[in-house]
Amino acid sequence: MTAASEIVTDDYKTKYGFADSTGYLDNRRRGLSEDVVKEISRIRDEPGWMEEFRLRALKNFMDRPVPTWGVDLSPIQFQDYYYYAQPAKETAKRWEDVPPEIRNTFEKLGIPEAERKFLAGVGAIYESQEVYNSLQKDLQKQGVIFTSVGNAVKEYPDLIRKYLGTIVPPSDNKFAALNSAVWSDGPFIYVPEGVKIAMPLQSYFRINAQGMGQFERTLIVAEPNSEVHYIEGCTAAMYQKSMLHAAVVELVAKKGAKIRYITIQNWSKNVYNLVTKRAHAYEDASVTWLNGEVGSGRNMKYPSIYLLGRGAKAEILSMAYAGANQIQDTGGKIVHLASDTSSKIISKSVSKDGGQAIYRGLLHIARGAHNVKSTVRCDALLLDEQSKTSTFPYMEVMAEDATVTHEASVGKVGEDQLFYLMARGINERDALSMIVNGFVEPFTKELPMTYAIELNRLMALEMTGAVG
Amino acid sequence: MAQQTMGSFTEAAVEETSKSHGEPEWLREFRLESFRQFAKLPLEISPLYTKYTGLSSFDIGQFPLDHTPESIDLRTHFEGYLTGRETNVILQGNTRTIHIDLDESVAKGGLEVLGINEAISKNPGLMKEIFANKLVKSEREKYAAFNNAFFNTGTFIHVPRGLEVASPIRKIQLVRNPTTSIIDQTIIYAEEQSRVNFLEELYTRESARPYLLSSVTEVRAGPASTVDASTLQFLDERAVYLSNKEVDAPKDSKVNITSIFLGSSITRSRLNFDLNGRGANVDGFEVFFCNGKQRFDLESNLNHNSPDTTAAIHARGVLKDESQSIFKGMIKINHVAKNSNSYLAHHAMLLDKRARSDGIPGLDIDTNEVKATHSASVAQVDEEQVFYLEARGLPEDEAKKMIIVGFFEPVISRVPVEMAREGAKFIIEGKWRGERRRLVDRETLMAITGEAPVDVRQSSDVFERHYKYRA
Repeated sequence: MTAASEIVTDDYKTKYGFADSTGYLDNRRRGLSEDVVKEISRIRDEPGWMEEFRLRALKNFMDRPVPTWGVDLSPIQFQDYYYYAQPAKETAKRWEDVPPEIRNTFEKLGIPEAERKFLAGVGAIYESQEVYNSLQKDLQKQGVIFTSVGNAVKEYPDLIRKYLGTIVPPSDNKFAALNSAVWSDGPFIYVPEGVKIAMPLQSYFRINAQGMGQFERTLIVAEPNSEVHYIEGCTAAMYQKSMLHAAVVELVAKKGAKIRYITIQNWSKNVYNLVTKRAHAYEDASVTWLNGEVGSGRNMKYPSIYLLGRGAKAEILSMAYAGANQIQDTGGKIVHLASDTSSKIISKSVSKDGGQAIYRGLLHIARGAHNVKSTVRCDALLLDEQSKTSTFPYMEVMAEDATVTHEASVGKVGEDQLFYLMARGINERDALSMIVNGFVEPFTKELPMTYAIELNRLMALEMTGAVG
Repeated sequence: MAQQTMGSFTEAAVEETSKSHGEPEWLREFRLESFRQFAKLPLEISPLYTKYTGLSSFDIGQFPLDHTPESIDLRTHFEGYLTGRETNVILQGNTRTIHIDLDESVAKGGLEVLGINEAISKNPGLMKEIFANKLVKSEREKYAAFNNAFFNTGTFIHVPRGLEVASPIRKIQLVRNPTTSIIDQTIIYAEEQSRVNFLEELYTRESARPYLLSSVTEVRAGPASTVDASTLQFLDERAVYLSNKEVDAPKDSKVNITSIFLGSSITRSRLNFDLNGRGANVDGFEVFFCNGKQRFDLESNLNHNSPDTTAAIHARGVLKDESQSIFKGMIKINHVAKNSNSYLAHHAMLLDKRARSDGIPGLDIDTNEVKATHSASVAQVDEEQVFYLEARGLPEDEAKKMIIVGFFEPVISRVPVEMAREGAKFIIEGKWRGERRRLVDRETLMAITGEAPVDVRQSSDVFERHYKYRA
């Protein structure tokens, strides 16, 4: 067992866990204070209203207690983190203009290659800053905006003022407040009315320095009848000390718009991933969250969708893998506020080597929302006796004509399934891997091919030596 | 949320309760410790559920506590609830155990049924041990602590080793203008390889003011024993009903708990099954129908602490008008409980726009060689089923009624006494029609059992010549 987990650790280290030099941190101060927030705002050359937004959020953050439910957050020493680090001068538009060290990192992670192959646009976020951004020419012509929220504050202040912080207000929770105070880059995507982006846009997030806090801020606005497909990937260098990723992601899907948001979260195990993701879906709009949660040591993430207009659709598909020393406290929230809305949550989790996977979900159907249909399915697979799983689904139904079903199951890999495969000459390790891949298949089949393969490979790596 | 006051439920009142029953020192101490827990505990201990505490909150301080013995003889008021031909029956009027009557054969076999205070004075050794290892633990729930501190009535049932009690033991609790809160402790102690079926029926004869009925039931099953315990709660709308049930299921035991909750303004139920021995098997069946402004707060947990244990909870509810319910359930499978199989289902049917139903079916699994599933749903009356019945000539209203009665049927059919089963259906039908029905008169009894009640006043001598009689 130990040997196997070492292999996995080694692999993460060579493939994702390496670290670059951190010279850009030399003049940075650790810790959080009004001065730090003002400094961030100054470095980013922000307008006064943005600085005010940050300071209000900081006050809110300071006034709030650390949540006591979910994973244990008491070890987080907020004054020990770096809240801002700017590794490059500005966002490069050409790959060659990215500083060589950082370029090297993303090349190792295979980002430019993917862009050439099948992406419509790419953003690369390194520590607190977007270091690279590109978008296909024809999309630019159609009025699609794909930039960082930081740049958008300067370039499109009206759009930012109209939407930023309206879906996830800074006072929403402690970590949303923290993010609002010290937020750094993340993509801002604006899709004009009727524009359908066929190929996905992608951002890649990377934390490099020890004790770094990354505060991704993402905002996607899809105007009526537009479509966008967005993918984010995350990795971090491996250290003994913890790193913090507290993101806020806001999505607005206007009438008839479609947003599909895919996250492959593969932070190293020293990362606290505390994320607030929320979408507003108007009439006939459709929002899908797809979450592959493989990494991070402590993860708390419950993407939510508010269905605000008649006929809106919501879908949350997630897969969590909890290995040694990992707690994946994930789930989904769907709030039905309009009639004829429908939603689906499918959650799959696999726990191994003492890992703990928790599903925490809320399904709320408001009074006056008629003909609502909702299905929730959570399945958990436990691969050994040290591993744990819990399911806490909340259902609040205040409408008599709603149809709501929830099902959950916990099981282990069936001996008979293993035997069946082994009898066909497949070794135990591969057989187990196949069964687990089959178990999470409803999730992976929704991913673009390359990602599905990558996720299966990640799972297979993590599964090495699972039969103990 | 209602303001929480203590009213008459003070430490001095605990002392007085203990004194008025002439209790031994260990019980007084047990009560006082429970009181400390009651005073200290919040309404909801688990952070998972704190959001929903408002649903079953009320001010316990508004209810009276009085130790003066009941002055009215309630014996005459059982007319309409009894045909007079019952055996194995316990009659309780408010806080007084009026009458206990057992089949001669089981009485000879050693079956003991006593009022809780009598049990304490008669079997101090056994009772001391039971209270030292109380299943319903004060530190786990505020109102369990409340009951442990203030209980003023109750029943102790002791089924000796190997005894099979063929016909069910019925306990009929009648409430009539109580001057005190009714705080009942029932302990069922079934020894190894015994078998018993206990049915508790709660009725209101008359009520002028809101009243409190708190009930703690402990099922202490022995190895390889079979215990069935059912509760039919038909209290009127002035009742606040609190129920705490705890089941200890050791090796190879089989325990079924059935609850049918139809009455009260607030019902708060906590049911815990602890599967403590290899091969233990438990089933919980719970149904409720709430209408008007009723609020039901039900929590049922399955705790697997041993390998090869099997458990299931089936909960069903129908909600009408402005009623609200919450169902919380948790399957907890301990690290050592390999090869356990657990199932938790909660299905609610909403009949009105203003009704509300929340459900939190949880799983907490610490080992892998298990099978644990839960399912929950909230839906309305199935239109297809209605159409099917209408196509066969039933009017819509009748069709819906049939579907609702059918929704409850699998649980109601588990009640061991026909009269109680019919009574439940009678009340459910009434609720569906928006009528306030009670099972109080000869006509109703006639209608549902086809049997005219024997006048209890005249037959009291029949009761008295039986095995036991308590005034």
